[in-house]
Amino acid sequence: MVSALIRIVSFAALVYLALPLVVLVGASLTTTSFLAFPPQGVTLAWYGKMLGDPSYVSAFLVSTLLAVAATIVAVLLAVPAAIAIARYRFTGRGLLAETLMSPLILPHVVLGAALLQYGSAIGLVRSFPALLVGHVVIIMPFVLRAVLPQLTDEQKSLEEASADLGARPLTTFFLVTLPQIRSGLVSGAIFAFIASWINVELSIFNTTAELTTIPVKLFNYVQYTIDPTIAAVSGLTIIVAALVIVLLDLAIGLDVLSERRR
Amino acid sequence: MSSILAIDGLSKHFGGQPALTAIELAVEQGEFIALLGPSGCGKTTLLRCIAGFLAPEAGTIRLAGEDVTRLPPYRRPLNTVFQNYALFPHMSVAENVGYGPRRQGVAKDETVKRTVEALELVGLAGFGARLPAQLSGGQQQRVALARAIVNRPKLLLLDEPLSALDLKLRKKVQGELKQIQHRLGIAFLFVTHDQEEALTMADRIVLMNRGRIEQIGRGQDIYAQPATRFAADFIGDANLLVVERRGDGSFALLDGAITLPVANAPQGELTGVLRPEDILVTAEPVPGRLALPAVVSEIVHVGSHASVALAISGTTLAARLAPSALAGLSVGRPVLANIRLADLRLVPGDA
Amino acid sequence: MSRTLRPVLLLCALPGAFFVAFFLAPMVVVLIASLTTPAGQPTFAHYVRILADAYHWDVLWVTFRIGALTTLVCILIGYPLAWYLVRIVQWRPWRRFCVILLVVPLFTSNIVRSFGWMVLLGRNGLVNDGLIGLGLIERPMRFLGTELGILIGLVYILLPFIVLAVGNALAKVDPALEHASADLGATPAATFRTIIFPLSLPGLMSGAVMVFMLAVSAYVTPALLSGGRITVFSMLIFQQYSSVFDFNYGGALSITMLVLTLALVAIAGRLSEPRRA
Repeated sequence: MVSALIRIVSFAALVYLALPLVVLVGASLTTTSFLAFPPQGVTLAWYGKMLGDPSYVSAFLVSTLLAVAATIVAVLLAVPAAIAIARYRFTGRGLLAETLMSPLILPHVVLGAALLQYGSAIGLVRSFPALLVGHVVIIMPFVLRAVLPQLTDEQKSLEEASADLGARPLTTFFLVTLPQIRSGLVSGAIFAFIASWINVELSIFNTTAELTTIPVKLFNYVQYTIDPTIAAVSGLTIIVAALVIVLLDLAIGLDVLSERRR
Repeated sequence: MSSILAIDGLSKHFGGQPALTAIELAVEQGEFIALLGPSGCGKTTLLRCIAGFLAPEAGTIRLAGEDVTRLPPYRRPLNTVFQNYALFPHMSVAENVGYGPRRQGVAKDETVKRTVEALELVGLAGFGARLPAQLSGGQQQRVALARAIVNRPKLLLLDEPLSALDLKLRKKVQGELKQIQHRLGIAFLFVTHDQEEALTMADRIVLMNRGRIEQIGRGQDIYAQPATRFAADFIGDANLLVVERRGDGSFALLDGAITLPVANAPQGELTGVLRPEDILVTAEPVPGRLALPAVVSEIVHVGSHASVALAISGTTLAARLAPSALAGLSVGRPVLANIRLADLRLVPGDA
Repeated sequence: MSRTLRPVLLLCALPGAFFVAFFLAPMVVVLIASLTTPAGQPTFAHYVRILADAYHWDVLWVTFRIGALTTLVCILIGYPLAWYLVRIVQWRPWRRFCVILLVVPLFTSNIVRSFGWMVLLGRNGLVNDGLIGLGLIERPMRFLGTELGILIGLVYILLPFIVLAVGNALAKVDPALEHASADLGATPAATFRTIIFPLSLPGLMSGAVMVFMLAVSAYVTPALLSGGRITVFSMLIFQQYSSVFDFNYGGALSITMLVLTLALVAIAGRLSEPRRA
């Protein structure tokens, strides 16, 4: 009885989770000039229209470049910080860890507003670097969170063994530490990339008509017009997300809910 | 009088693989029984069938005469001490111990009273307010015991309860466990893979292998009269000798160095069992024994005794000698291995 | 210099400097701005203006009400779904598919997800068509521009957080504890009430805190689904920074929001702290 109720709620919830994505991808295929679901006929014309529009292409480019650059910087900053936090006991260690993780719970609108205000004071506004620093701040926690649990004490003894065998610290890092944290680094970087790729609340303060990301462009667009091109743009982002997730699943296994012992 | 636990024809498969085959077992009131066997022998599976966590495909389980084979675990009048204790981490020691009585609908003050008694019994009076994580391994083990006996079960199942303790502590707890069992008069069914633990604690040992019971009996009886090759090998040390069946009904061991004129031996493959302490190593023959020429190939001192490896007709036998008997022995020296044919047992099973 | 300090400084210099420059400094600037006039004189006027104005209280009330309702609905749907995925689904490929279905929305922009609901919840959208088709309503219901619409959108975006947090906690409950409970005479319902639920509570609480934080600070979803009819607190902040350009007042709004959410989260954290004897 209870089990039946749980099944019904769960099926309804799964439908609810799939519905908007299915509707958007479906509606992007319609042959009508307005959004229709189920789609009337099937055409890729709206995707063609989107790719023919330089402003969309440039927004996709900006989004991707920004996400790639922010991920690289975030990884380069987060890995040394993670090693310091995991390997050394020093005053302010807890504070450092909490500060670096805090962008996860800080309202992004507040952070975006703060960066805009601060940026206007130091002349870092509405430019690629202005977007970049904000994105690095909010995605660093994803890398840190994925890498920290992999810097275990067991691994520390491997590093000590490496040092004992005469390896310099950097050699030890590249030959011993890095291979051990690779899976955490990969999944953390993917989450970081996505967090940057889909961000609106932070980017919106620093974008312009010429320099804009896909989510911000969509946001500004859907408030005024809704047409199948928007659905095509959305559909593309959904397909990218699904592809990334399938890749992630194949790489590290996303099935975190199957850990039951025995 | 009916047994506390009576198991009849119990069988269980896992994905087509037999895990238990035709288990027959009766446990009497107040008995301390050890389920002994190597890992994967089915002893834990049997315990889980009795507790009700696994459903057997065939056979019955009776507790004090009542058929419980199809009852869910929470309706069976027995309790279990789990391997890693399975203490509820979010409850205090007292809440853990009082959990059983509360589920049975026992009144609050009665629950408190029983909890205090149970904790006193295991020597943890005053620890009630602590959380399991704040206790040592030995203390956690006692809480698990207190929790399992507070309901006054008819039968207590213990799933390798001492395996997480270090050797010294384990010895101490073994004695305490035996005492507590004696005071309560509850039958204990104790799973272990440690033969020494089984020998020290159990009234009877149920020796299991590959999902079957090999032998049931007192430890010393199984040692003295193993029923199978496995029993001989698992309990204590044994020299296992190849047995050749001769045309005239007699048996040859050690390439014919020993001949046994046994007429009514079991059918099939046989193995000769000779305990190391039954071999006397001397320079001269010992009257009343069969003297076999041997060469000392190794001497290992293990404190109270020494283990001597002897090469006899291409086979190596182990003998156990007191330190005083070692005088004049050295590696490479020819000696005589003196055995009594009565000490040599033939059991079913391939050497 | 001590043996620990040198490597720590080497490792932390860049990330530390980056966070000071682009995280702490901006936040301090906002804090200072919120306490000064545009001319740089210290003042509490911005905070007084927020606290004295009934409109702000209304907006705060709406924001936190939506946040609380979102959290509640997420728990009511998310707990059973997590239970279903961890304890009922036996076929691994199906669970894998469900987990992917759960994560895909997380990897899609709030815009796209909310846009999907704009399409679904419109007058002639699929939801109204469905409800009319089932005979539950006669005329199309208005969802866009109502709190219900915002709620549907926010629950959609935040549900995966609860499911993943609770699911993780449920997956970690040692089956031996359930066996022990049954062994001691507890029925399955009693085992759930006394063992499994309490052990999943930390996961539930951390998921709920996450959901609540994100719900009260959400901007995009309410902005799109409110149709301009409902105002939540983050919209006030956004207005000040994007069209009014009053950074001092905007700063005070930001700090107010930050303090309120962090305070509520701290209280929730205190309530769910594991007990100590």
